[in-house]
Amino acid sequence: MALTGVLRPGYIQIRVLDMSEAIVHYRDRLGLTEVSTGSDGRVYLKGWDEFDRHSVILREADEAGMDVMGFKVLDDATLNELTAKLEAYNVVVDHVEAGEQPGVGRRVGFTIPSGHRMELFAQMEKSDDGPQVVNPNVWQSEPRGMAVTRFDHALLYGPAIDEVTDLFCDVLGFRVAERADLGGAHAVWLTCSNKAHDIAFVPNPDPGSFHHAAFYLENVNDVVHAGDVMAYHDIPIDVGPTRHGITRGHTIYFFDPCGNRNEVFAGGYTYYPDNPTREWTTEQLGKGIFYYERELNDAFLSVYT
Amino acid sequence: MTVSALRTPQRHRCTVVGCEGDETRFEVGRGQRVLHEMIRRNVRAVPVGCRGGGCGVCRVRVLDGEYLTLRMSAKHISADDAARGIVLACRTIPVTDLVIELAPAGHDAPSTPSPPTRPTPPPDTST
Ligand code: FES
Ligand SMILES: [Fe+2]
Repeated sequence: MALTGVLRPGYIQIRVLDMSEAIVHYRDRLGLTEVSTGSDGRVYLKGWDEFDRHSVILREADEAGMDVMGFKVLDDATLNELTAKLEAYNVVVDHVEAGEQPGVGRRVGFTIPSGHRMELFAQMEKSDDGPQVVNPNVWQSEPRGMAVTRFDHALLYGPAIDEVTDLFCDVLGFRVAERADLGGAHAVWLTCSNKAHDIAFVPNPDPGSFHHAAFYLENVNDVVHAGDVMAYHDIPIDVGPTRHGITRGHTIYFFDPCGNRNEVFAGGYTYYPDNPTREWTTEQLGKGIFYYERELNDAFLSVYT
Repeated sequence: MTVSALRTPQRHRCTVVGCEGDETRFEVGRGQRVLHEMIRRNVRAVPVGCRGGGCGVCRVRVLDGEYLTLRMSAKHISADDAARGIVLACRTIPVTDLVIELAPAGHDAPSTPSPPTRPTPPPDTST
């Protein structure tokens, strides 16, 4: 087993201004499965290709944005090891009891220098609507809407990104797949796996800011189909369909009903730990972000929640 | 539906006053949101962002007129802002003709969560 330590993004908790509008968007348009509603009103959802119970949590709040992103680690011993490493790195950690999210084991939380809360966990119940394991069909329930397969990655905005990068790499075992020079500060695309990125950060003075949550599709045809769903339902599209130079994924950026940016993302290269970091210079950054347009739109840097 | 509702115009005029005193006008259909109608009519007067009340890019001040608002992110519109007529154009529904100006968040914009906003109370339409 070569892939150990931190396995993947496990869940993201997104703040929404209106829960009923958000459920229609994430369940019926993106096509996530609605799993349950907690006693505190949080709504849990998952993609059709995910084994775990949930990967998206919606919380109604006074502002949009992201509460927390959780990473699944290999097992309980790994959770203990990483907790010790965080503490040795002088990161203040807190402990969330098993069951605070239904079906999820104990979690270890901490705030990174960019102002975002991250969590690690090792255990989550399996979904009864996940991929089948005996004579499996492609899916167990027929997908809806954009038919997104899974929660894939997030891009976050905040200060002190170089410190964040060091923490993710030195403590959590991530690697820098791609890096862009923004004239002194760096934007980074970090991976803990074979994916071209599992999380990305762009420098911004506003701590704890949320640029987008991305949902995976199998291929570019599915991205175009997602665009058809967006057009049909009048979902505001930010950019796309296009391709990222960075990661080489096909993409559409669009917005949920309260202004959080979502992405449908397909492809991207396969990353291996011996790959060198791909570097982008300031003047080519536009091509890195939007490969065909070769320039950033106004919204890329200024519109976030 | 009351008789007064039947008399309510089908659309309202929205006037955006620029910093040079220049004015841009467009119509907003009854019950529609200011920013969405501006986009639909291909007018560029207020910056367009997320279109959902989350990003604060379309922050404006209402100089004249009555309106309703949908929930707006408290990160961008404090209770104080709301009391001074500062709103997000993508969450604002005119009830009469409106005159607005841009009110982009300055560097003094609150980066810490502000108290939740209260929606503007519905105006009295009984006359
Ligand atoms: S466009 Fe984002 S708050 Fe109006
Ligand atoms: Fe992305």
